[in-house]
Amino acid sequence: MEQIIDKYRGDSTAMIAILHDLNAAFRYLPREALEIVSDRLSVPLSYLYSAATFYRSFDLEPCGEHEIQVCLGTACHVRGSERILDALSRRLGIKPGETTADGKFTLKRVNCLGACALGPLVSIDQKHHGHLTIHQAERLLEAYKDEHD
Amino acid sequence: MMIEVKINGKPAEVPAGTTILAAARSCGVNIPTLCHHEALEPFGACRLCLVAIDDAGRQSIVAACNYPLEHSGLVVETGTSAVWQARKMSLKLLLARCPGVKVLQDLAREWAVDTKDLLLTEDRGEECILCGRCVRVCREVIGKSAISFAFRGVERRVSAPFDQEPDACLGCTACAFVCPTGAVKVIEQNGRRLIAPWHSNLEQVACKECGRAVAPLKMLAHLRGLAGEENEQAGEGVFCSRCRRLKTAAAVTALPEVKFPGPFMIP
Ligand code: SF4
Ligand code: FES
Ligand code: FES
Repeated sequence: MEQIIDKYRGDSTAMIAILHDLNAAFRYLPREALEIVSDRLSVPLSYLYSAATFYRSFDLEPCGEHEIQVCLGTACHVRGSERILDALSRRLGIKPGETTADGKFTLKRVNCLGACALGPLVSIDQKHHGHLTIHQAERLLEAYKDEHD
Repeated sequence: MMIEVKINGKPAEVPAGTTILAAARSCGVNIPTLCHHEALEPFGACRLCLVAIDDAGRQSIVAACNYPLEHSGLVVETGTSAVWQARKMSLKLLLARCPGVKVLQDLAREWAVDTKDLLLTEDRGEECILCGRCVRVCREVIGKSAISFAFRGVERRVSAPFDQEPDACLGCTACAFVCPTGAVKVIEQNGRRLIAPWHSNLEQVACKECGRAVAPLKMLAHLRGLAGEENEQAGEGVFCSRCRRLKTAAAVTALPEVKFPGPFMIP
């Protein structure tokens, strides 16, 4: 925690970068962490909450061990990523934004991962898988489950 | 530096950086506003202040409240049919979100907006139009930033951090004061002040004389701090405005009568 803040020398303009690092370290942004950041950077807690709820890359609830992001940016959307999201959601038995009961997977809809040419795009633990069909996406998920069981 | 602008055909001169809204008001032209507040930085949220501008042939419709005039030659029209159409559309969008809000309903009537396709209700429902006045007053005037916008898109709302009672809130109710729709409900009961949407819940200081609640302890401590006084005494010896007035009046009546010289005796 302190390390992360010190890395940016308490610079308040690095607020977003700090939140990113914290989100990665805790797999979400605990309230206590934001309170410490607020204190150290002299940034009101409300600003941090604003940013934490605005960007999809931040979580306010603990995430599962593996994070599945389905891109619903414009390019992926027109190539049918909505249906991939539905399929994965059904298979995992959770809605987008939720985490499976065993704490293994979190499913998220995100807004453009910046690799539109690869759409429809699914990223699991930051690894991109492009040009997916629904079937392939489901197989990918199963393979992933097996691998990490 | 002064710059020239023409508003509804009338030439005017204003200092560079003046907004179209301020320039128009300075020459008596009224532009409707809702999210604008004289004491706050412009925000451009409600889009009711739209006007048409012509900048050397480049025409557009802009929000008057946050459009700064930086160079001479702008021609502004505040009442064209295109302008009214745009304003009415903004109003309809606000009404679609908040069909129960009275200020919006009144404006719709005044502007003869066709609301047939909207379901206006008596029941107030969602009352926040996301104008940001409460957020701005808390940040810019009170300096506390207890509340902020949170989430995005259709989920956007004003909230205290984590939607829980905010530490930073003094209970001053400036937010309720500037809210144009009445969305910020303040409840005073059992010696506490509650600001409903933020879950603020503050202990009130009682009047030393009549026992009525005067103001939140936290707010008084803040004011004493601003005045350079000790915080510990924040809640001590506080009278409500009525008792204070009565005490002053009593003190004044108790003074010996003063004889003033007659009106013609001034040397
Ligand atoms: S609560 Fe009131 S002042 Fe605050 S954003 Fe909503 S309408 Fe505006
Ligand atoms: S839209 Fe999916 S990566 Fe850009
Ligand atoms: S008054 Fe200008 S946008 Fe609200």
